[in-house]
Amino acid sequence: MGDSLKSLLCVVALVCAAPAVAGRPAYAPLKPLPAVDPATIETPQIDFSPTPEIERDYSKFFFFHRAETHFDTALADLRECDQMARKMNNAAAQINVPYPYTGTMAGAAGGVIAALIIDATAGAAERRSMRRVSMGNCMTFKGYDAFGLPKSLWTKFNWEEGNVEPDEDERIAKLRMHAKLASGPRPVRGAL
Amino acid sequence: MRAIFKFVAAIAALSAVPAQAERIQLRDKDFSGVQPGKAYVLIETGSAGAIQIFRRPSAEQAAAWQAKRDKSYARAKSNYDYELKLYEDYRNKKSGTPVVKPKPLDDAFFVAPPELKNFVNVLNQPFVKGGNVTLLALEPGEYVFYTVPGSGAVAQGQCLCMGSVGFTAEAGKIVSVGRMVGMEGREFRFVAADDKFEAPAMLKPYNVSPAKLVAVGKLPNFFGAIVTRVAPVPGLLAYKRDIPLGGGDQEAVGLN
Repeated sequence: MGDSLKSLLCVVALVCAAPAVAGRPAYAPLKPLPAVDPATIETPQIDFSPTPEIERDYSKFFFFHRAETHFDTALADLRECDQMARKMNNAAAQINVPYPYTGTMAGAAGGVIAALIIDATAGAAERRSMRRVSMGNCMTFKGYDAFGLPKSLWTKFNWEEGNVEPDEDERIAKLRMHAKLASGPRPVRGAL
Repeated sequence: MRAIFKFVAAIAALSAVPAQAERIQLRDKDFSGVQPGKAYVLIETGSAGAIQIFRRPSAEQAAAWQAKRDKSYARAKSNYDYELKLYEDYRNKKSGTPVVKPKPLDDAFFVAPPELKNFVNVLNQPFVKGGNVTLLALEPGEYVFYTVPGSGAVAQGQCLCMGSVGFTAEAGKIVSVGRMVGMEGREFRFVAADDKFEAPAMLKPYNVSPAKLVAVGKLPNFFGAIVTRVAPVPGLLAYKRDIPLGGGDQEAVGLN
């Protein structure tokens, strides 16, 4: 099935002409970015003295690092994970997922459960927490280690995923700062 | 008054449907033998709870989607070109009415992919009361595990977007897929069915056999759930860092 299915999916996905990036979902292609000189990207401040209070919040405020990783690779990884951690497109949420018992009364009740398991995320706090888990999972699978730091430093190169999404330029600018850390020297403290 | 009438009509419509509605998730009392056009699938859900699978779109579905997408794109493009012209005219002072610059077409254009029409929700409802195996009567095809319950107090669905497994559902047969164990750390544990997998006694006369399984590559996060993956399954699914691999270390086919 391999090749024939792959070529069929190519037709569906429309992006086979674009340079294929290993293992990336094709419905959500990442837009190419103009290359930047990593030296021009500001390195976020990660020097701090740990306190028990700061350490307690490591699981909320963290960044990633992987040895022998180039800035461009780190940025591509971060962008892929950032995309993975987001809903594919708002339009996708409006599609009703068919429930096996559609049309029955039991089905009507079950539909509520189904809606719950898909989107049990009412508030911004929950979305933030989901983003943390997704980013952590995705970057860990890619072989990165996470390092915690105080919120005051973290907020300088992150945004709070909430009701309002940051615009694309801001996202990219901050992901570039993350990439700078991820591809830089190994952090001395905050390992998770 | 009109609203009440509508409401009553809606209830009536709802309760009128069950006669025709076809059950996908069967209980022992619903099962009346293997129907030739249906593919039967056994999944051990255990305490894993509700999951979602989707069927790979057929060639017809894919072609229909492509045609629809092309048509919508052409329409969107013509609208975009028109709006852009109005904007340019305003900028070049050919018209006095202020016009906002239209958003780039590729940012705004989206047609829901055909996979979304092929989703099946599987609830934690065993074939035999008190059992841990669920029986599905599906349209034949290739299916992919997509959503699994996460860990924690709220068993909110997590997407197997970073690597999953699929199975073939064959018409007129009952196949056993495996056991959905649950989250283990950052990954979801799945155990592939083998010959020793126990089938409900009632189904034993139908020669239940292990399903043909396949590794599945990365999938888009359709619903914005937490992303995770199926833990490596010996002989079926492995990873090179984040890249899902099938048998023989070939990169697994996701939606790529």
